[in-house]
Amino acid sequence: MPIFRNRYLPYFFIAPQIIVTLLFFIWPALTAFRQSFFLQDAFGLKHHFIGLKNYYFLLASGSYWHSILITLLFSAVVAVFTLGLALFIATLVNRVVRFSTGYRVLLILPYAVAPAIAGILWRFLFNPAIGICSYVLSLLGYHWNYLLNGKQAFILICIAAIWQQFSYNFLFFVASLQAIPKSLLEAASIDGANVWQRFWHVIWPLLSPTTFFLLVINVIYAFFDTFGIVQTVTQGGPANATNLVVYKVYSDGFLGMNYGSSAAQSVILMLIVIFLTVLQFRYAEKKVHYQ
Amino acid sequence: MLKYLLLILSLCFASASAIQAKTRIVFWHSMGGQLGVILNHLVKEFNDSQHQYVVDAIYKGQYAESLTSTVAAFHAHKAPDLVQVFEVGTATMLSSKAAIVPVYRLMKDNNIPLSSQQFFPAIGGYYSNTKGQLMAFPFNSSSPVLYYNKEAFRMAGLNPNKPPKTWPQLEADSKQLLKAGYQCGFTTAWPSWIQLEVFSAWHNKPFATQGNGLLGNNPRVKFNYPLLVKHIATLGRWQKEHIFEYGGQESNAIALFETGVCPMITDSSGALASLSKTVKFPLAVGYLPYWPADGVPQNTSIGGAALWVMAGHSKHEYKGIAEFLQFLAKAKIQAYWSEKTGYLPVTMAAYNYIKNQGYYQRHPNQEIAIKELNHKPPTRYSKGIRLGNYSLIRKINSSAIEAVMSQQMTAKQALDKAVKEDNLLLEQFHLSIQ
Repeated sequence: MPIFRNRYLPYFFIAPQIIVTLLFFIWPALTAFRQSFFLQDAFGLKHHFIGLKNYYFLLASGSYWHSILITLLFSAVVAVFTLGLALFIATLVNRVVRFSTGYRVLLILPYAVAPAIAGILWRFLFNPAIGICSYVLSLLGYHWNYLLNGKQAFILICIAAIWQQFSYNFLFFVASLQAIPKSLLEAASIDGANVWQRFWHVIWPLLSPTTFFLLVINVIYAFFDTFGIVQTVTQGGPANATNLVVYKVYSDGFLGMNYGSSAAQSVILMLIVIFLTVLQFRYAEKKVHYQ
Repeated sequence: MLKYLLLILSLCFASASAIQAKTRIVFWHSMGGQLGVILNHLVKEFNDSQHQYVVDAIYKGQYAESLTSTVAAFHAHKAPDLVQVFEVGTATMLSSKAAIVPVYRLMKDNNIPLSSQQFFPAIGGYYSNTKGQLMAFPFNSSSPVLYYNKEAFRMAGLNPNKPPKTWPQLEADSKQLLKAGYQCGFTTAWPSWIQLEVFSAWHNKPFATQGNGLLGNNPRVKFNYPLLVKHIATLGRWQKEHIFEYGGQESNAIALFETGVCPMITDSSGALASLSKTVKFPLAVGYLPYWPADGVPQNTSIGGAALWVMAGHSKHEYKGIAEFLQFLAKAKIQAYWSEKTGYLPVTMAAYNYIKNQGYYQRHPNQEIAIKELNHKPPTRYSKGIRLGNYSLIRKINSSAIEAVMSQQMTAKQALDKAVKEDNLLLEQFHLSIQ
């Protein structure tokens, strides 16, 4: 006996989700795909089909390869550090007996801050002229000027992104840690396992579905959602040191009005993320234990 | 109850129709802060001077944002009547023939005389097509000058009435300022505009082929010539010696000058209005420095913005726009705008008007930019630069300067690389407008 008697009712229920997906994901993606084969002037008065030339121009430009490389580095740094830090702190908070709710609330709070606001906060803290962190660094004898020093600028946006994405990771780890049956840990203790052994042989395998999920999410975050941070902190500079792929899509498309190239870049970005996600599912997922 | 409702309703309609009786002209601009106040004053004067039109001046954010908004509004068939576009967007606007109404045609259709000859050659020429017909209305034009802190000069034992004329003199003065305890000698706003583009005009060197893009629509940049390589390399060396302090792209460096950290800055003449308000030290203006050689300096080229008339509006609106532009071109209005803001008087009539009133004798600081612009009759390579994908090109060029200042690349490497990347963008632009 089917749950729904009316055969159209299920379609009705999933319709909103389908419509949203079509309208906000599939349609723009197809438009971008189509646009990437055209050259278009700023006001959209002329379209020329130019085949793969937009892609050719991109791949012939050194700065595009630079963008891809620093984006890969950025996503690796952000994904790994966010995961590591969140897991470490979640494990500690899980052992705290008193005020654990308070700790958790405080640690989850940054997630409520919009990326642009997070960017502004970090910019103020590290502003070479007026930032408190720059002041402290200068007391320690370190010359901080991320407006000119590309490495410092890169580190700064990494910190801002990790800080922002940390809460989300933390939230998931805390939830999964609490879902681990106490009996398993007790059994391990009785068998003589020390803290490290309990973590490595019991907790870590049980956390692996969460870790895997977060790894995928973090990579996607680093690729797509860091626009606000780059825009507010560095605008891609200095000397393109923080010109992440997603920011370049924006600045070439909206500031440069080079729509064809911007579309081609978003298609490449999409392909990279699809490729990375498939890769993670093919290889990393084999190490995941689903209960 | 019903009676009141009807009364209110009829009042609403009455006031709505009163507004509709005047033709509304939407004018998008990027004049923030003090400049916006001065512009609104002009707009109000126009609105009060007649009863047929109301110009509605709306601040649309910085130049790049405003241009993006205009494009989006054009796609949605809601483009403004008049929009202020910076020189970076000139090639884009010129090549979008169906999106704009050329100013010369607008004026002809409405029988209002206005020719490119009324403007200074370096200004009118920049906004004209190859036939010399005015395509946009030059509104706020500026030229880079050297601002300096007179008090700092006095403290360092330099003559406060004698700013450095050449780059070697500026180096010597900077060393003196460093000795007197200043952290740096000078900084620059708009690095790629001033240190690459205007630098080329000032030294009469080609920035791009086809007369810097004014004589054709398929130019290629070639600014990696020896003098400019030497200049950027020198800035890189000065950065190490603190003679120069890089202060960021666009106008970010102004903070270094305003706070008294660097006693000299090369910046747009349009910055004078706000600088006079913000700095606490006696401010003076000198000529943009140059490297001494035969025939140098030539003349500076302009930056700033022009007003473009958008296509797709009614005859009434166009009549109104034409009258508004005629109003803005009046010598008296130009004089007010120039005196208050530091932008150049764009017509010769306005310049003479200001001069005859003895204004420049009282305010010598404000005459420097116009003297630079008219230092010599402009050549093929000193009338300005018109490139497609210009904003992206500026970004690449700024990055090149940053790469030299942070010692990642030599000046030669950085400029060669920038030229190569710029030319890829120019090739794309040419394809897109075919």
